[in-house]
Amino acid sequence: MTTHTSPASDRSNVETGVPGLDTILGGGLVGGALYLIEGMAGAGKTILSSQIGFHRVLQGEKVLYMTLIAESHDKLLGHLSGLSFFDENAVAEKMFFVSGYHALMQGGLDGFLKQVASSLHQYRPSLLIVDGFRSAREFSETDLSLSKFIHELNALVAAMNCTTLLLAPLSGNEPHPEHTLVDGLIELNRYSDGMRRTREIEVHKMRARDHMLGKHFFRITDSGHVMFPRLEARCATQPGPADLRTRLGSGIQRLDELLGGGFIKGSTTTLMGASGIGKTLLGLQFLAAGALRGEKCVYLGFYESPLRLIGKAESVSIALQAACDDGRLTIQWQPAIELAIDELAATALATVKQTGATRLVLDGIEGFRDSAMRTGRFGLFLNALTHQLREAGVTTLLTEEVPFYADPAIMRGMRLSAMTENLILLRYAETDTGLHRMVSVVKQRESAHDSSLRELVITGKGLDIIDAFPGAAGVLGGRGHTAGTVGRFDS
Amino acid sequence: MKTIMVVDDEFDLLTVWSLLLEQVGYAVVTAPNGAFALELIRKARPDLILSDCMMPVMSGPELCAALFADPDLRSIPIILCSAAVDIPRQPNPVIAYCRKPLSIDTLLPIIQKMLP
Repeated sequence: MTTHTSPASDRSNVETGVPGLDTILGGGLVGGALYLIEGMAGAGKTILSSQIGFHRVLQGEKVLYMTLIAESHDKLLGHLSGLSFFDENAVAEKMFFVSGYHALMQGGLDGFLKQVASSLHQYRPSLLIVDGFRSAREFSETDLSLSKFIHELNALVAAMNCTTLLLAPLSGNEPHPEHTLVDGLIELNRYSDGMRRTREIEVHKMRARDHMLGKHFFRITDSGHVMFPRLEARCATQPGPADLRTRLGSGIQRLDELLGGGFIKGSTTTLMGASGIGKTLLGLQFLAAGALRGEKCVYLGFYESPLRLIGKAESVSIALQAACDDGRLTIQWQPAIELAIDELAATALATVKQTGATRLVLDGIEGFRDSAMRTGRFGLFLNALTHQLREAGVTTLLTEEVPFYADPAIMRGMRLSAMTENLILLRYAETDTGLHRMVSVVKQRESAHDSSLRELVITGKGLDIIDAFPGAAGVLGGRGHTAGTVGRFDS
Repeated sequence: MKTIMVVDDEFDLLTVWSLLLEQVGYAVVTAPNGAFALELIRKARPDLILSDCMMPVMSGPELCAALFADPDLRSIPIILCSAAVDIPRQPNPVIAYCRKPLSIDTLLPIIQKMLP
C-alpha cells in the first residue's frame, strides 16, 4: 500500500472583523499561526481578542478563550456584555471559556501545554485566545524553557490549524524570547501629547503578510475596536488617465472663465484667504451649483453647525435647504475639539463613497492640522488624502485660513497649496472706502487659466466676480497705496 | 492500545504529536533520528512509524531501508513526511507519504486507514 498526501495544513486567511485591522495586518491573520498581542493595562487587548473571537463565531467557527491570571470569567463576560459584538447565546456553545491557571500551577509550562492540547482536542476551536500570558512568562525558570514552550505551542496550534492569540503586558524595550518565535507581534499602546492621549497600534512582525509598518490610530467604541490605517502608509495606486476635459461649474460664471471653464473633474483646489473673505461661501456656492445639476455633494467643516451654515448660505441667496432635505447635499459637522485626523479622513472618504458624491468641500483644513497629534506627518497625510479623493473621482475644494495681510509667500498654507492642483488666492485690499475682496487663480496645474486679479462681491443677491478696480494690485496685503480715485470698476 | 513511533529531529514536533496522538487514544514513543528509532523498534515493535525525512545520523529513507532489509520489521506501516515536494519513494510494502507541515485533520485519517 502506498499513498501520497499533499501539504496538510491550510494556511488560510483569517479575517479579524475589526474595522481597519485587516488592512494593517496585510489581509488578516494566517490560519494556524501564533500571535502575541502586547499592551499595557487598559490598552484593549481583551476587547480586541474577544471582538475577533465573536467575529469568528459569526463565521460559524468555535473559539476557546483560555485565561491564566486575568479577570474571572464572570467579570470578563460582564465587561464584554456591554459591547455590541457580544453574543450571549454563543457563550458555552461556540465560545468556550476555560482557565489554564490550575494546570500551569500544578504542572508548569509542560502541564499547561498538555491542557492546551487536550482542550484543543475537546473543543476543536479555530481560534484560541490565551489571556494573561504574563503568568506563563513568570512560570518559566529560564528564557530557554520559555522558548521551548513557545516552540511547542507554535507547533501544536499549527498541527491543530488553530490560530492563536497570546495576550501579554508590554515588555518595553526588553527583548523577550517569544518575540522571535511567534508568527506575529502586535503592540497596543498610547501616545501622549500634552494632556491628550490617543490609542495606537503597531504591528512589529507578521510572517507571511505584507503588513503596514508604523503606528496607526484606533478607538475603542461600544462596538469594539475601530482602527484607522494611516493614509500615507497605504500603497498609492497608479492614477488612471485623467479626464481633463470635463469641467464642474463653480456656480459663478466669471470664476469659471478664470478657471478656463470650471474646475477640472476630480481635481483638488485650495481656496486660501483670511477670515471672512468668502472661502466658505465660495465652497457652498460650488456645492449648490452641483446640487442644482442633481449631483451628490458633501460638505465637511469644523466651525459652523449645519443650521448656521445653511442660514448663512441662504442669506446670500445660496439655496441649500432643499438639497439637504432630499439628500443631494450631506453636511458633516465635526466640532473642532480633540479629533483624530485619520478618523476624520476615513469619515470623509466613506461619506464620499456612500453618497456617490462628485463634489466635496473640506472647509478649514487647519481643523485637520490642529487635530493632528504628530504634526510632522501632516504634509504626507494631506498628500495621501488628496490622492484618495482624486482616486474617488470627487472634485474637492479645501479652504485654508491665513492671517490678515500676511505675505502669501511665507504662509504655512503654501505647503497645503503645493499638494493640490489648483490654488485660488483671496486677499483683502484696503482702500479709503473700505475692504475689497480680491480673487485670483494663482495655479491650475492641469490646464491653462486666466490669472487676472478680480474682485469677489458678496451681496444678498449672491456671489459674483467683477473686474478689479484700477490700482488694486498695489493695495493688496496692505503694503501699497493706490494713486488716484478708488472705486468699483464694473464690467 | 496501538503504539505509534514518532521520529523527528525537531523536539517540538515530538512533543506535539505525542500530546495529540495520545489524545485520540494511541500510545506514543519518540526518537530524534532514524538510528535511535531503529534501536527502539528492535526492542519493542511499534504498530506504525511516523517519520520525518531529513534528520541527522540516520535519515527517514535510511530508516525505511533498514526496516525493509529486516524481514521481521519490513511490514511495519510507515508514514514518511517531508517539507520537500518530492519525497523519495521507498520499497516498504505499507507506506504513505505526507508533505509537511502536517495537521491532525489530514494525518488522523491516514493513521486510521493504516491501523484499522
